[in-house]
Amino acid sequence: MNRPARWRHRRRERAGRDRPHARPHARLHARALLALLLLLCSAGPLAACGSDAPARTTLTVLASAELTDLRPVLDELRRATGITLRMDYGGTVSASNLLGSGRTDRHDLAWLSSDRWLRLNLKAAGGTGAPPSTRTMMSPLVLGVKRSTAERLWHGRGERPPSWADIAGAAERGQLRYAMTDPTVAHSGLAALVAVATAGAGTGEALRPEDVTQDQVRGFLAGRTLSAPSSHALVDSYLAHQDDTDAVIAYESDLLALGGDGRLREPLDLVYPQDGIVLSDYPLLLLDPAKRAAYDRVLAWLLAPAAQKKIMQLTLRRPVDPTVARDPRLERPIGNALYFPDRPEVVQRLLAQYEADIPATATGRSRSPAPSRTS
Amino acid sequence: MLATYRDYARTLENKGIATPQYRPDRGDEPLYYSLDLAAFLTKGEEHRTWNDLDIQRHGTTNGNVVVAQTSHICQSNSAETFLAQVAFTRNGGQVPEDAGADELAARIKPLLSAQGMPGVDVFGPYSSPEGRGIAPVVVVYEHQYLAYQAHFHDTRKELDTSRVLLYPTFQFITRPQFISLRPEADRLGDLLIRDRRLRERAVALGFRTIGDDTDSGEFKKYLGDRGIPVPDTRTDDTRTVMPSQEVLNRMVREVGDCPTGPETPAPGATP
Repeated sequence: MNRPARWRHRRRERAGRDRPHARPHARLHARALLALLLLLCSAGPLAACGSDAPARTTLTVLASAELTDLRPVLDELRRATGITLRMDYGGTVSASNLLGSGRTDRHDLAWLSSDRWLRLNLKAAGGTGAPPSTRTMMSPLVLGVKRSTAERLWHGRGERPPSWADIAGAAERGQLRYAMTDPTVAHSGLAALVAVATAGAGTGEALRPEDVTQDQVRGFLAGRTLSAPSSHALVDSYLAHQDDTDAVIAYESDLLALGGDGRLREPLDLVYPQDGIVLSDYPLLLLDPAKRAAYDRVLAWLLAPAAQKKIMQLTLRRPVDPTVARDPRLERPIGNALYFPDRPEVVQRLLAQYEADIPATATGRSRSPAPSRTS
Repeated sequence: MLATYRDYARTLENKGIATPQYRPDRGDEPLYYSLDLAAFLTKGEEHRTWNDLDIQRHGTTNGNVVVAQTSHICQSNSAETFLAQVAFTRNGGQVPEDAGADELAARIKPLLSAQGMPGVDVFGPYSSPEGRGIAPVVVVYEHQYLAYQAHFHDTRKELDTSRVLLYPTFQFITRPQFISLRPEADRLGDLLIRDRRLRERAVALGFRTIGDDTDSGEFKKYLGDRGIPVPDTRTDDTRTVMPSQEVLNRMVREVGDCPTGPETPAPGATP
């Protein structure tokens, strides 16, 4: 696979300009200088470091499907900065495949629930790196399980939450029917597969190819009765089938919102698996280096405490700004994060096992839908 | 150095891997510990998890293996510096040289790759309310931690005693350098060294300023005004020496599976 042409172009420019290996320690010095300049920028108003953005700008953004919930924030962003984000929504894994293949250069930015799969794609392609990326908000992948099911399966555990191994075991025994997004399309499904396999390997380290076994994935998937191409669609699907489904694997933010909207016939308890969660951190990525100034302005606005607070109130995702006081529903500890594999072949192997175990006609199965556009 | 949480530091102290740098007069807990880096690395090489080290005694559980999380080694100076420390430690206290560098890099690679995919930034996650779960032991610069404590004190009038620093016994002091590429830039360099307000800003960001090694210096005064103890960096038995840039680059490429060609640090990335 080839990387998008614009990234290659940018790197040739840098190689010629910076000559980072021209003399000993030059790379160190260049970094120190960059750090120094960033510090100086941070000493004054942010606008002083990105004031060359035009007053009215439209940026095209390849975005994860669940970010449709940010529309009111994007309206405020436009009013405050003059920058319109024109969003093309799709599954995170599908979008990462598209970007990693180099088959698109239509977008100025990408805004994904996670850029892990994109980075693995680029690594597999032998590229020279990933585009600049900055985290904007956070939400862990958790299990929302009916209270009666939790009591039936895990009564007597006290404060100790179930592990991914417990969840996979219950699914394999036919005691847990759950909804999960399609991991070939959406990051939440992919992250769940990684979490189950990592916990199953039990090494405490990032998953290696030899740690992935067919049995772990097959047993876990035996309980999946509902699927969807995005976490929002998954929640809708769960609501439609909640009488014959026990649990949903989705982001904390989705499940907290679901718990508050009155459509559940039985409350869902949130389980933060004992052996570790996978965190999504919603990075905003700069694809077209020519849009750097506008990208910086968008980031400066999004990362300011006022916008971080607004995003939290609207979406129930956790702020990346540590100084923003958490909504009481977000004060709960999220447990430890699992180490996510850094080798493309690990995740490729997991997805191959998934493909082998789930026939394409499974309930609710959806493959790489075309991005849908709004602005 | 490594930034972590009190329960992790105490777990290491219980195992003889970390030692408090000082005992406060009042009932506070020390903010700084000395870390036996060789012993710490051994736990990772033995694939021991934090639970194996009985971290549950301190009310925490963590089944992840005992390693420090870094930002991406191909992009990050702090991660690269940590690699040099690990290499020095695992090379018998000798600066790695050309011969044997590849074998040494392959040997220490598991210590840095066990964390899986590194984040773009580690101090941001560490300093967040979720930090204990998502970034409990991270490789950072001293100034990042001190700036965090200063900000914490300015807003809450107390220190965050749950977050602590581990100073490896073989340690580095990073000295950011300003390089003038044009004659006009000499003026800026001069201001960075001499201008009072710029020096104060550097200290507020946690940096030790040049020529400020007296007890009444601006760095110590800034920390002292906020009740932040001044970390002692003089107690170490030796100071790590960096290998040549060529050797270091080779080791970085091997350990980080780095692509060839320059990388672009992301905005907000740990430098």
